[in-house]
Amino acid sequence: MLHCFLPLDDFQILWLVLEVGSGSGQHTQHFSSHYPNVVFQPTEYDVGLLPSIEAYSQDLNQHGHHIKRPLELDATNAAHWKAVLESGLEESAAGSTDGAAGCYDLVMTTNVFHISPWVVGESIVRGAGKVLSPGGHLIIYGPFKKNGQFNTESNREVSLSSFSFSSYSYS
Amino acid sequence: MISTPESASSQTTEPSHQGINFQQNMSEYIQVDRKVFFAAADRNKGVILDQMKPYLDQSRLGNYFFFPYCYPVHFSFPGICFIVSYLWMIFKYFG
Repeated sequence: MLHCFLPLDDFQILWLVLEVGSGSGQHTQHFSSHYPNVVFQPTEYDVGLLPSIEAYSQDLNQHGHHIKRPLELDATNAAHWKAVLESGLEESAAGSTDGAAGCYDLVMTTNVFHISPWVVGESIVRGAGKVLSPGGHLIIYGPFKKNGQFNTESNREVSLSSFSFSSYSYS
Repeated sequence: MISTPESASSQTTEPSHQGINFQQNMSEYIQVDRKVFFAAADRNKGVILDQMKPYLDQSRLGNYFFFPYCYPVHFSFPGICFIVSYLWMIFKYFG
């Protein structure tokens, strides 16, 4: 009932989530479909996939969801991280007065670390430290083992298939 | 060399061969218009979201007043949720 008396625009909590390595955009769409109040910023190293991410996003944005235009992000490129931060600050300036250092409440990356060169993982951690707001979280999802066992069958498959990516060179 | 990031406007979807191999198994990849569909990504999206929920649900706590139907704990502990969310909002804006 309180929303009848409070100005919604002033009290709307803005949640910013940065996804590093959005791929085709399927995951971003799935996450946003369950969390329409969250603003997602998708990014991808392969610029050829940015239109796909945007196409998935437009489906939901037409219904009031908040997926920002995808950005190219080579995790080793400082200029890209700066652009990601500026994009987030544009959002937070409209609805939050949090500290100026970082603005994202969450940085997530899924199935990236185990198929990319180590420097990429290092760069993601370093970049997340610059764009996260105080108290924010970095989530690294991958086929990790817990007590020596994969927790899902799909993670076991991903781990096995990753051996075929060993010839990939990050340029 | 420092390059400026590209945006997605008016581009067509052209995932590189290298990128496809990098992302998923190519045999499980299809494209319809601009959308690329990776079967493996579709299979594990639910599992990944389950792992993200403890963090993403924090966004709903902040919107408790406006989206109470989104927060299932409300039905078990409505009083606690009300107080916690109210304090959280105060901290978020005035803390």
